[in-house]
Amino acid sequence: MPSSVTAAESQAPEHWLSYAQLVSNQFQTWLSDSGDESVVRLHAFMQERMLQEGTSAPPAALVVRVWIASSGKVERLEFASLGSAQADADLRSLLTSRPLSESPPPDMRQPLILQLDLTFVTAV
Amino acid sequence: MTVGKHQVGGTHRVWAAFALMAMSSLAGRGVGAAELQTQASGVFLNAAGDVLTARHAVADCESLFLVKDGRIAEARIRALSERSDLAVLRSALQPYLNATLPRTDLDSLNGIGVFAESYESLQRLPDRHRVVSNAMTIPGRGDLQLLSDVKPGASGSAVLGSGGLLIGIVTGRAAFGPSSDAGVVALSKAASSRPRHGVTRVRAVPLREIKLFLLDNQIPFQQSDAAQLGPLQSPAARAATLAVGVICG
Repeated sequence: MPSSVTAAESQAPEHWLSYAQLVSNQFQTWLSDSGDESVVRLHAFMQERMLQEGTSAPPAALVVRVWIASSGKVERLEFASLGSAQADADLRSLLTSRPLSESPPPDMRQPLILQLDLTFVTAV
Repeated sequence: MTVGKHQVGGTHRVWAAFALMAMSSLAGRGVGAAELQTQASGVFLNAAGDVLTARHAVADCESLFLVKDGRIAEARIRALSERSDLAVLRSALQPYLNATLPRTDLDSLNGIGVFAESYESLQRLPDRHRVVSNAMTIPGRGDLQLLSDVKPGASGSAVLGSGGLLIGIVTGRAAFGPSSDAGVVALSKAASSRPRHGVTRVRAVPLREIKLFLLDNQIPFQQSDAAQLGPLQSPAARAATLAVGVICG
């Protein structure tokens, strides 16, 4: 279970939390695929944005709201714009273009709300 | 529903076997899962990527690789059990999710539906989100025994019980009859010379031996008595998430 747990999480059934962890980790894997052109582009954009802002601090966490179909496919995704139409499209594509490895629990309330810290490495 | 912060980005260093370079698996781009034949199976134990498998499937290998969703990584043995047919491997692969073991010892495991299947078979299982169970526990002599039609390659695969909790690791096929010690055939492909078909008696290392082994070797693992799967969720799909293929070279 993630280290920061909200009151809402502590009341959620364990199998919901398990599924949420799965989604979170699978998103991480997709966003870390250095062989994917969209990932490289997104990482480059985030790096450039930091340089323009003149800060060395990591960017604020991005909150994404995710709706997942019974097929495991992400059918709807909402997040605040990253400030670039291309970056937004890349992020959306990376998280919606393929199904998750499992279907969501039928009883789980949606959307799933995840906080993604978009850290990056200089050499991708 | 909100989940706490999650960090993304970073690199995964994935090593390709020299013999498999022709399949273009460099840099984590992966190969078609069907192209990689695995000899045994394993299950992710923790976020660091430790994999629990059968000792007999890995102990004598000159090289070891783990396969997951088209990604392949070289692996090393982290621990070998002296008492049970268990081993733990470590590689650069990180899981989407790791197995959860029951915190409370299990009283009786006779006649309950469970799920167990090899990594390779799980990749090909049609409509796995609809599969509820594919094996049943039967009385054993101090170990966990199942009626199952798992085939060679299933050594090291997880036995998932109620709520998707890990209750055993498949190791071999036993002969029917009064003596369950005779005629044990390992279920790694390397050790199985004669493929058998149909439901047979399958042996698995039980929960208490798994925990003892992990604790003795200071391998972190997750415990809970809470169900990790809801009543309408498929253990087959969870087994596929937790499973990893083992290649012994």
